[in-house]
This record gives sequence, structure tokens and C-alpha cells, in this order.
Amino acid sequence: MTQILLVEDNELNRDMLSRRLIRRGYEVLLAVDGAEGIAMAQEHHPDLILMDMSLPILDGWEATRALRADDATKTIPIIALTAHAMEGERSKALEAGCDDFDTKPVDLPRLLEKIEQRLAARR
Amino acid sequence: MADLHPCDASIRHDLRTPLNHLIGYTEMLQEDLPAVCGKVLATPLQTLLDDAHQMLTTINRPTPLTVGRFDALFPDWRGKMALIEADFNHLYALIQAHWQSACPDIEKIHTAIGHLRVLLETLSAKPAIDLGDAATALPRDPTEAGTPAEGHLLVIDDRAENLELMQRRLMREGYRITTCNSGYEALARLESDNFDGILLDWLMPGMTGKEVLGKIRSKFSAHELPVIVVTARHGSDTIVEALTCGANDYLAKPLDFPVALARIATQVYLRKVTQQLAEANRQLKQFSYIDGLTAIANRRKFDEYLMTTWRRSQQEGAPVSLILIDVDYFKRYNDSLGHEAGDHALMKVAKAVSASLFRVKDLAARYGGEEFAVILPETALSDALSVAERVRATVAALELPHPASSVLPVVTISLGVAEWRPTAFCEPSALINLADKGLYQAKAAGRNQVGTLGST
Repeated sequence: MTQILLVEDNELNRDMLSRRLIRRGYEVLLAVDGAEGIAMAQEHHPDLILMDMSLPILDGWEATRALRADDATKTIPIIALTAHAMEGERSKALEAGCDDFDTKPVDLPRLLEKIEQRLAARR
Repeated sequence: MADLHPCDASIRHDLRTPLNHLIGYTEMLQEDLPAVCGKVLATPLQTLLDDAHQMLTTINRPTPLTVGRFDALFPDWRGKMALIEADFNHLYALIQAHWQSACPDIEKIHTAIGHLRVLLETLSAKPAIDLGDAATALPRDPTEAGTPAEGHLLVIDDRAENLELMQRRLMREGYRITTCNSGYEALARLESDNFDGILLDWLMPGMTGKEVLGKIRSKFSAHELPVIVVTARHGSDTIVEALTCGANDYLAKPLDFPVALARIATQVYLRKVTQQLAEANRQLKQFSYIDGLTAIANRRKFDEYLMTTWRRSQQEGAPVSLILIDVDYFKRYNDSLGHEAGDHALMKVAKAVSASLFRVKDLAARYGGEEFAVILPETALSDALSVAERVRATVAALELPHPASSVLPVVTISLGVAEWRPTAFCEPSALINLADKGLYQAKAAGRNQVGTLGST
């Protein structure tokens, strides 16, 4: 079963997104901050990571850069999630090493399409 | 979206967060909708969703939200919010009647809608307020210029001709004016009347301007009551003295009236904005005292309430009691049933704890991940123990299945209770530590019980 790591500090966002992904047949791992996100990625090697960009301890940008710098985790596709919609956010995410980017509120069909795209590219 | 001012981006982000929850949970309910409820619930769910999306579209409009009044730029928000709330109320009733198991999620939707309303109320009908960290100086609302001056001013000067001149000129502008020819008279007036600003002559016989200012500032801060000092002495010494003593600004005699009017208007406007900000903060604070998951008080509220209760107890001498609560084997619960189930269990436990308290002054709060706390002001240990036992029993009676507990096959809690009579030199941490020891004792003795080390 495909394993997705969701790194999100807001409880309600975590609850919502993880449940909707599980229903669609994915296995979901949860991390609540950037540091835990890195640790879980290193331990479990998920098939894909959904990364909220504004996280405590270590923010999404730093976490992404750290994952890209580590041989063990650098090939895992990362999709950035953010409620900010400023022009620069998208390019900032891609520069930090994210493969794709999506905004909140989450449009689930759109997000699922992006997830499947990234997973297919990997296979 | 084009490059936004940081204030704008921050405001939109804050508005999108509860909308994200509202839309997400409603879509989730749609996905989960059992066929048998389909006929009744499908349309109300879709209606709520459509109205939430409408609100989102409005928030995403490129009009900058920080220039001028929020209400003027976003005039339809009240109507849209009312629609959302009406849709929700309708949906809530139906779900209670037909789909009980969706209640936890509908509660989350309720919280999100409340959050959204508080944010919108705070932003509306005021000059733009910065809710984010990117605090830059707010532009003076251009619509303010040219509107008639408003406010009640107190003018203090020992010379009648000065008072008469200022009164006439200021009243022509639209201000309401009260005059006094001495500091004594002014201070007496301040006891009975409210003012939006004061013009104070610095050089007066008897009680000097400096003394009057000192007395005013001992009761009202510069934000609460602006004082503009008026002085014939133009030397920088006098100006520095006046400002250091708490004056907001100064004016030189003979008065250049256009300048004087502009400075007065600025001070009155600043005071108004500060009051609005304080009110907005008060409202936001209210929201930020609630835990998002369980909807009871959060740790921040707990800390503040404990301190308030403590201080009052120090003065009045009554004891304060504290109950610390920890869900037994919660990690195992999460590991075996999943985070989602864990969250639901916490919500139910929180509700049970809350429901066990019958006095308005008692506070139940989420203390940590799986920890709760109850503050019982003016309560002695024996009563606190009764309350604790009642809470323990209520939670056990929920009979939430717990497949991985070594105590019982249902969710149980351990509780630690302590009482303290605070004296002048002790802090609440003493009470917390004692209650913690009681909790430890309860765990060691087998869990699902109340532990206490007695009182001091």
C-alpha cells in the first residue's frame, strides 16, 4: 500500500487530510513539526511527503532542504501545502526542493491528481 | 495573485485557515454520507459547501484588505456569514436526528465557523487592523480628512481670554468644549466627565501645568487620554519636559490654529484607533483561549486562570484545589486504534470532564496532549476529592473500548488532587507539583483512581 507522510502542525488539518487520504486507500504517517518530519522520512522512507510550509521547530523550507541533502531521502517526492497564496510562494517552494505545490483550502481531487502524478513518475 | 502587502497576506491566510476546516470537514461528511441518510442530508451539505466556497471566492478577490475600512471593501461578508451559519444550524439539527456518529465532525465545523466569525467581526467596521507579525505603520484613513471633528475636549488655562478664544475656535470645528481655569477645577471635572483629549496650559500659577499633567497621568495613560501642552515658552527644555512628563504633543502660543487643529485631530484619532485595537485584541484573546480539538479551555487560559485564582486566594485566604488528569495508556490507544480514534477519545473525555463540573468558577482545561486539569477556586481538599471521583466515574462510564489497556477494557483516567492555601511568597507551581505527585501515586497504585498527598 502506498505510504504518504503528512507533516502538519494543525490538529484539525491533520485529522481532516489523513482521514480523507486513508479512505482513498493510502497509508498515512503523521508528523507534527519539521524535525519529526525529517526523522519519520528517514525511518520509514514513505512513497511521498505532503509538507505544510509553516511548521514549528523547523519550518517546511528547512525540512525540505534537509531531506534533499540526505541521500537516503532525496528521491522522495515532496508536495508543499500552504494557506498562503502569494506569488512568490510557489517558486520559493520549488527552489527549496519541492516537486510540486498546492494551496489550502485543499481541493482534494486536484491534490490527489498531483499525488498520483508524482507517484507515477517515481515508478 | 499579485504581490500582496504582508498585512494583506497575513489577513487572508488567517481567514483561509478556518475556511479550510469548514470546507474540508463538510466534504468529508459528504464522502462518508451513508446511503440511508442521503435523501435528507445531501442537499444541506452541498448548500453549506457552496456558501463556504462563495466566502472563499470573496476572500481571494485581489482588492487589498488593508487600505480603508474592511467593511467598505468586503461589504457582503455579513450576509455570507449569516448564510453559512443558517446552513449550519439546519444541517446540525438534521445530523443530530439522522446521523449521530457524525456529531464529532459537525462540532469541528461549528468551531471553524465560530473562528471565522470572530476574525471577521474583528476586522470589520474599523480602520484596517494588522493581525500578523508584519506590523507596518497603518496609513491614515483618507476618508477621515474633511469629516467634521468629533470629541469632547477639556481646555485648561488660567487666563479667561485664552479660554474664550480656544473655545470659540474649537467649537466652530465641531468639538464639544469644557473650560477650566485651574488645575484643581480640571481634576474635579475629570472625576465626573469623559474626555477625548486635553489642552493644557503649561505656565499656570498655583498648580502648574506640570503638576496637573502628573496627576492626570497617574490615572490615565497617554493612550487613554491624550494631553496636548500649550506653552508660550518655545525653548526645547520646556518641550522636552512636557513630553517626558507624559504629554502627547505640544503647541506653541500664540496658536497657529490650522496646526493646532491638525494635531488635536491626530491625537483624538489615535486614541480611537487604540481603543478599537484593544477591543479587537480582547475578542481575539477570547478565541485564542479555546483548544481547537476538544473545544474546552486551552493551556494558555489555564495558566492565566490559575494565576488569577491564586492572586485572589492570596488576598482572601481561601484554599485553591487542582486536579490533574491523565488518560491511562493513551499512547497504546493511539498505536492500536489510530490517531483519529485517539482524537475522538480525547474529545469525549474532555466533554465528560467538563460535564462533571457544576460551578461557573470551576475551569476544565486541556493541559497537554492527553492531560487535562481542573481548577477549583475556594475549594478544600475533601470537596476536590469528591469532584475528582465524579470525573473518574463519568469517564469510566463512557465505556470507550480500549483494547490495549492493562487496567480495564475501556478508557480510564488517573487523577491527582491537591489543595493549597497560598501565602504571600508561594507560586502556583507548588500546587501543580503537589497535584502531580498525587497523579503519580494514582498511576503507581494501579490507575483508574484518584491519588493525593494531602494538603498544606
